[in-house]
Amino acid sequence: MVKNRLIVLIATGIFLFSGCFKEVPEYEDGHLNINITTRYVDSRFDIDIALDSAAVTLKNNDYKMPMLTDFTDSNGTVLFQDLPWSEYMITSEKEVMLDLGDGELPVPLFADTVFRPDKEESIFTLFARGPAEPGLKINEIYTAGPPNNFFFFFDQYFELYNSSSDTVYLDGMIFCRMGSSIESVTYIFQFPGEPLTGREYPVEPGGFVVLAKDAYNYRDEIFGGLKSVDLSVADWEFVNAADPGGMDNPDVPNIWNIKVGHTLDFMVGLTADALILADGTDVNYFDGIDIETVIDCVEYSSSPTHLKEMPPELDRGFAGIGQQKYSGTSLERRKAGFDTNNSTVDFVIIPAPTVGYQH
Amino acid sequence: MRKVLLFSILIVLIHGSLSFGYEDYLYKNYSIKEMYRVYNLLNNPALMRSNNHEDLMKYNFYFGNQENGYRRTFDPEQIESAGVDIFFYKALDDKSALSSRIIYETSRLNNLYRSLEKDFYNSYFAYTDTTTGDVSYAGPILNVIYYREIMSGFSTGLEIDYGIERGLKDVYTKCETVSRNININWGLAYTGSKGTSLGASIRYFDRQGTYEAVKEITDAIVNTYMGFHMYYPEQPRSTNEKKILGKGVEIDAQFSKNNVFISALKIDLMGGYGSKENRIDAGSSSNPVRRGYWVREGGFVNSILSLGKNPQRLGIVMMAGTKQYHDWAAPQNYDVKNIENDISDVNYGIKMTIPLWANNLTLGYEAGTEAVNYREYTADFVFNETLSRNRVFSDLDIRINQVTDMYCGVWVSNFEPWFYWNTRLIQAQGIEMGLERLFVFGKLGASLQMEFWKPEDKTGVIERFGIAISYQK
Repeated sequence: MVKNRLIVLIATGIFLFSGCFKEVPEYEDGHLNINITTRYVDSRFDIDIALDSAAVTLKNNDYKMPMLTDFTDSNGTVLFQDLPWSEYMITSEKEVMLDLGDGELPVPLFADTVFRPDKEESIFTLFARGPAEPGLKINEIYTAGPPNNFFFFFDQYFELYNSSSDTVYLDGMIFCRMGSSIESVTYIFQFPGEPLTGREYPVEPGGFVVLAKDAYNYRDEIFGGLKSVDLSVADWEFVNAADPGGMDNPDVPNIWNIKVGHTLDFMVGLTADALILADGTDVNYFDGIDIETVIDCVEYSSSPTHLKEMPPELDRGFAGIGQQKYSGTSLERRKAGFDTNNSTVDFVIIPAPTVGYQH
Repeated sequence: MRKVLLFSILIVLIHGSLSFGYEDYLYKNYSIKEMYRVYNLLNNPALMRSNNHEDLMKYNFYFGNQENGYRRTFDPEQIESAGVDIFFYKALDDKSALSSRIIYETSRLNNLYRSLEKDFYNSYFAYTDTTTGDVSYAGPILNVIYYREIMSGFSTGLEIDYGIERGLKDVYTKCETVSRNININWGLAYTGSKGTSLGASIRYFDRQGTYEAVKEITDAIVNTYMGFHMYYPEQPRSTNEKKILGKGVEIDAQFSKNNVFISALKIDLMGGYGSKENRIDAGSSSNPVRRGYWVREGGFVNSILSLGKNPQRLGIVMMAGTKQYHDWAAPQNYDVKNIENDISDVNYGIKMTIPLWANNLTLGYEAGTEAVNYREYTADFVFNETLSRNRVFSDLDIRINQVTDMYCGVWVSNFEPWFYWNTRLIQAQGIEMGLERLFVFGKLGASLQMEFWKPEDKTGVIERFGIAISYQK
């Protein structure tokens, strides 16, 4: 009798218990197929073409594995098979001859997307974009700090590049470190002169402009000729009159802080932050920066999981994914002035800063 | 006597030289050579009394050293360990008993290549950094068992096991690990007047582990392996953290009967079924994300047949058992399995003990096969093999005089290891010796154990050495 009760108790326990186990997933990893078709559509010029022979690259954001590159067929399609289930950064680029109103010209096209699979057979179309309007661009961002063991990162600088065929003028422009959105400004520094109308500070076509946190020769004075950079050759220097310990090189013109109550120099995050160059017609920073006044915006972050803070109209990605602090590396556009409004595509991590020139 | 000496030796073997982290395994491995305590075999605290213990208090001090002249990639070059083990057993009255055990162990893994795990090969989501360093571990394990006879023939028992261990790597990333386990085992048993026992027990175990790698000049660069061939490079940060949250349940049933068919034949049957699940989070300490989880499900059946009025003196013991389990792991947030592992293990053995004057000689043989079907889908890797193992052993209990006993044992074994050993066969030999003497203040004992593992087609030997000193009153 007792034995029977125990047997019933055990059997009931096992039955109830077995229902608690997690379900085994249906799919096996390693059999993901991605079928990608690349197209370029531009309704302004009535263009809708498949991009054949376009290089398509898959970079795995999760696992350490080599990048995969293949070329599209005549239908603009390429198939990647037996991949691990993972998040992929998919990019494609191709230069095509297009008539955009001025006769046939070679036009570089770029496409990118972050892909997360939800089924084993994934099919989608990747739409390419043409280049953004040429103009003044934030071309290089050196903020990570040189290799050192005393947390030195004060040799930060930013480089502008004029990718247009016209001379542009820096007069009255503002350079901002942004907060958690475009409506939040952390620092706002302004070039001297009148916005839009000023003609005092020109940048020639193809010209570089170096904006240093402090125009100082860090390489020789701090690091004895090794590492770091010589910023005494900078074109501009950020200065905050409310920063009593701030450095001010008398040989270099200043970009002045205009935010009341801000007492620091222009120091930004080593591997994550957002920068805006705007024409300076909106200096009321309490409600952020008007998007119409923005000339260029770059958001950078070493983390692939960082949430986007700037609006996608200004920058759809992040520069510097994977960059390490105190690595001596810098972020620079892959070609001078190259801009698709997606910093993930536009910028590359370069091993050392290039002050005033393109890598 | 023999039981006590083996007790000392096994402490060195299990806690010392092997230096596994404290973890509740889903079910134990059974070996006919080491089966010496009925409670350990049956795993039901309601059957603790069947050990027929006298009240005792026992202290063990042990030291172990392992030199890995041959090693897997993520094994340390050397493992040093030392500890103290205090065991206490007391019959509270005719119907209840209490035992408790406190172990404090410290171990050091020297020249450990990259692994931030105590045993890299025991985890599907192992954590690594980029340096070779020495890692020190220390921590206590507390075990309490309470047994009570609730009515004639019926007994219940509760076992609580709690362990915590802390580890620290001496070089960048100076990873600090903290591992905490709790294990609650509750059982019921019925013991009939004719030597029949029937029992059931349920065990719940819970584990938490934290790994914290920090920057030194440069950010902490760590990787989380998924299996043994693919890894997820974690974002370099000032602090990188991994957390393990594990829990599991095991249900066991036991049956034991004396005098089966003939008066000297005893049979023990035990079986169990269980599942455990581990969730792994990794990333920054403020915002860790799920990196994956893995699940083990399975069961075991084991049987022991003992022939002899007193099998420890004269008799034959036979054992046969099997365990089958299925592991699977899934990455991050995708509903796919990236690892599967089916294991079917069969173990059998026989040993015979004969008296030689006042001494006992035991000769035994055990063997088994482990059918492994390990698949890493992400890396397209398959290991599908049936691995065999064999061991012959001989133990001699020598009664030197009325107050002094001695024990000697030798064994020779070979086994086919898993793929990550990078060799086809490992041959191993071991020697164990123990001496115990009764004094007016109690019993003093010392034991020694040595093992040598040699891969068949490779140079280098793994040498294990352990000593223990015990005092019992």
